[in-house]
Amino acid sequence: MSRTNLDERQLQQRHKAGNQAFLLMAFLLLADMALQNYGMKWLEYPLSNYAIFMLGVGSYLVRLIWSGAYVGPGGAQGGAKGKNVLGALLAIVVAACILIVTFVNPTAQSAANSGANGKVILIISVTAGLVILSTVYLIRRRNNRAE
Amino acid sequence: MGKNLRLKASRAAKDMSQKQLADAVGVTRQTIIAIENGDYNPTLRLCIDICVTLGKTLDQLFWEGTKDEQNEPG
Repeated sequence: MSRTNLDERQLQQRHKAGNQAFLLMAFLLLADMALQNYGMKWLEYPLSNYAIFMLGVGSYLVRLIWSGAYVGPGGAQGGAKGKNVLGALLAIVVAACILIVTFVNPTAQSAANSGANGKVILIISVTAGLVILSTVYLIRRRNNRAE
Repeated sequence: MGKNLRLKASRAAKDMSQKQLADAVGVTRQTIIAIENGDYNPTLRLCIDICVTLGKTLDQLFWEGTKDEQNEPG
């Protein structure tokens, strides 16, 4: 077994999905460049690249989960559980910070007045973290159940 | 690639679940399911690990010969 704790089928699936996601992103970025060259703007510059990036990474992630190549074998071991608990604690701490910043000390956010909404970004980060943790938990349950 | 019914039968004969076999050879249950269903072609290393775990030879579990070869005595 490899250092990544994935079995051979999972590694094969990852390589396949990764290669295809990379080619998809390269194609979409080139298509975006070409469209912008002809004056067709479907989205402003940094956002368009970000959207393409998210599409590539999102498709990669969905394919990994779909093909069962996201969590390796031996997921029920203590180390993995410790990581889960640590992740959940981190998410709770960040969520508490958001609540404090939002309701207890709302003036604290005025320091970041650069246009990006820090609260929203933090909430999205915490939500993404919790979604990842839940996904890993569900996959481990599916992997460890009897036939 | 067809279903590997011989692997399934050998596993059942040893009274092992897919999960138990997967844990014994260090892969996920989905990988064992894929091998049994003929959706994944395992490496020689994994084939040997499965054979050792189930007490069979590579020929008995993974050889896909012609019908004549399979029916040969001995």
